[in-house]
Amino acid sequence: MIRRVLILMLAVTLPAGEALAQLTVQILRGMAESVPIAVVPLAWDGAGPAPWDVAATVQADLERSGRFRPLPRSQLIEQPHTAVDVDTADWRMLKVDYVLVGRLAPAAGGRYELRYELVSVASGERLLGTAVPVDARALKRASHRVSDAVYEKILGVRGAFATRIAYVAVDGPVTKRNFRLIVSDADGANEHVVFESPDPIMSPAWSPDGRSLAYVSFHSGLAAIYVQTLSTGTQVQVSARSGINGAPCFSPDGERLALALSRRDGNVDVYVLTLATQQLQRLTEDPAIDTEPAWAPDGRSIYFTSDRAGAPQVYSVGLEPGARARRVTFEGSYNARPRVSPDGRTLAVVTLDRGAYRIGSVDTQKGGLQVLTGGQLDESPSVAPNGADILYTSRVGGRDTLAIVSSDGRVQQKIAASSGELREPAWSPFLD
Amino acid sequence: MNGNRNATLAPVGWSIALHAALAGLLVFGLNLRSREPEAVILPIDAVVVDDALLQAAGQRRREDERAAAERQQRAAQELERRREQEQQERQAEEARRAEADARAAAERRQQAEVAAKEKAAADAKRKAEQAAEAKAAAEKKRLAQDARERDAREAELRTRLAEEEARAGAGFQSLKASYVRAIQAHVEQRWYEPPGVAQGLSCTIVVRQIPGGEVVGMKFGTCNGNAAVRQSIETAVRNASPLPPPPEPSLFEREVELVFTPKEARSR
Repeated sequence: MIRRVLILMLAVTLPAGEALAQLTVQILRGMAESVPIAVVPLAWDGAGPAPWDVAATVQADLERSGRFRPLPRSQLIEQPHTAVDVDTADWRMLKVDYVLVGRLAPAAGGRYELRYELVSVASGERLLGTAVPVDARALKRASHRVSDAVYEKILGVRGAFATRIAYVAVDGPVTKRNFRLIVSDADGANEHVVFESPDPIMSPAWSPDGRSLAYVSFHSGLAAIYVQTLSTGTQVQVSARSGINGAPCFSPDGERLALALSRRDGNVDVYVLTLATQQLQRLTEDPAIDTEPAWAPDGRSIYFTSDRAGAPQVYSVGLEPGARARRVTFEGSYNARPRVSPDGRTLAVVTLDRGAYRIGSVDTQKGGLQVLTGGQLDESPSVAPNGADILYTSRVGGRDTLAIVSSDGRVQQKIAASSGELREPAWSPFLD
Repeated sequence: MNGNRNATLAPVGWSIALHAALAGLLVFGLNLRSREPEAVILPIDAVVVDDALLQAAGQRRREDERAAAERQQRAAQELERRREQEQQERQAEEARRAEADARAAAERRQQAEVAAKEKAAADAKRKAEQAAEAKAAAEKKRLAQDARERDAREAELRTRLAEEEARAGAGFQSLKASYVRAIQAHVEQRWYEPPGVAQGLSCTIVVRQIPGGEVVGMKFGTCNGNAAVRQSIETAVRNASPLPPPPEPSLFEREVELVFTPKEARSR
């Protein structure tokens, strides 16, 4: 009897209880491919034509990142220049989430004042409102900084548009090759030749302050490592030991260089060279080839490639004396050329994926590998200073080109840059 | 046991003693009679007797005879008495024995009766027990049967309830699930997930809608995302307005809780 009553009670209470609960919906992933944004051409308060189209540069930056979908300029139904003039209802009709407006005005001393504001269409809120003085020759750079600010405000990650990249361009017939070490803006524009030689140039690496490049050059007839200051062009030979001098990589404090040396015994191992004193510390001592060192962000350990287990895999070794190397990559038969993300949580590597060399991302804690690219011969990964993207070379049609993949693999893009084969790109640190 | 035997032997002892005494008296009596002729012979020798003497002697003789007769009488009486006593004792003994026999018999009878009664009682009890057992078993069986029937009825009721609930409910539940899925897809399509936030993000936002689906308010609950994540969610929710209508009007909820918990970074 009691049971029957209970059953009846249950039958009565269950639907009632459900009816009182609010609806709960789990959102498991963001399906939107990119953020729709309107970049309104800036008002120019001076005479004649505007000295620089800031909005065009910002629009190109955001579009190139793959994470934004700027409204084509032709579809801008109105062109406000201040936040208060942004009619969110209108922009909502155009399915735009954010509107960037601003104006450029001449300032004293041949300089300009750049004002810009970012408005959220959803909330009507003004998210950014900045006025910066800009040097006459730095308008493009200032435009990239606007892109950086917008990127960071909306995505929560500092933009890396105002950074630079270094790479080696190779052209000419096989018998008469020309090697150029080039530095350009992150978008591939504004190329600048740092060093040029008929002999191979390899492995450019940025100093942490972004003012110097270390690289390998054979121009003296044998491999040697040089550090060159970009502003002055001063080139300093830092290692020309017998045998291999290769794969330089600056420590986070910029005072040391990790490198691969074979020295007299011909056994390639990883060393650390203190630049000021030329003091050399041997980190590995293994009959196998240990090379391609990369510093962990905390400067306390170094990742490197070793074929001690038969095929190349990534290992890590601490800098303290007597530290033993520990294997880091276990997935796949080939993982090489590690580059560490700024937070130290992932390594960008070259991995052999179903017969093709591709860029992979390795979780340094869990060891899992995610293949990010789909080319046939993708090489030389370099992580952006914000960790959001990886720059690499991709062999397309028998020619090496530069490409970028987002660190989650969602966005891939090509970089239009110099002619010839483009090798071993290196993304600069943030340049403040 | 010994006491009992002594008790039974005591009367026998007395009987022997009495018989011995009786035999003694008889012998003594014979002796008395054998001495009488000697006294009779004497007067013949004494011819010269005085009258008085004769009278006295006659008196003495008569007295002696009387005494003897009395003695004889007494002995006979004693004998008779003893015989009688013996007889009485024998009778008493017989009576006692008979009584004992009777008592024993009675006892045996009684015992038999008791035994019989006990047996009857035991039989009755056993029968009663068996009957009770049988009854209990029957009752149990009946109860079990009842319980089975009740369970069956309840199960049927439950099934019917469940079916009914499923019919109303399944429709209800599946409609509700499809409503939830519709909102989920609607919001997910409008959410741009900022890079690198997927790991461990958990962000709850309660959205208020009015009939027609227009979002008229939203409020963040617990959220471990940064400003950009909140921005992305707020934008997604505003862009999701109006929310899709429920497949059945009664499913409409003014408050919808959206829980943003991306599983992991999306792979290609």
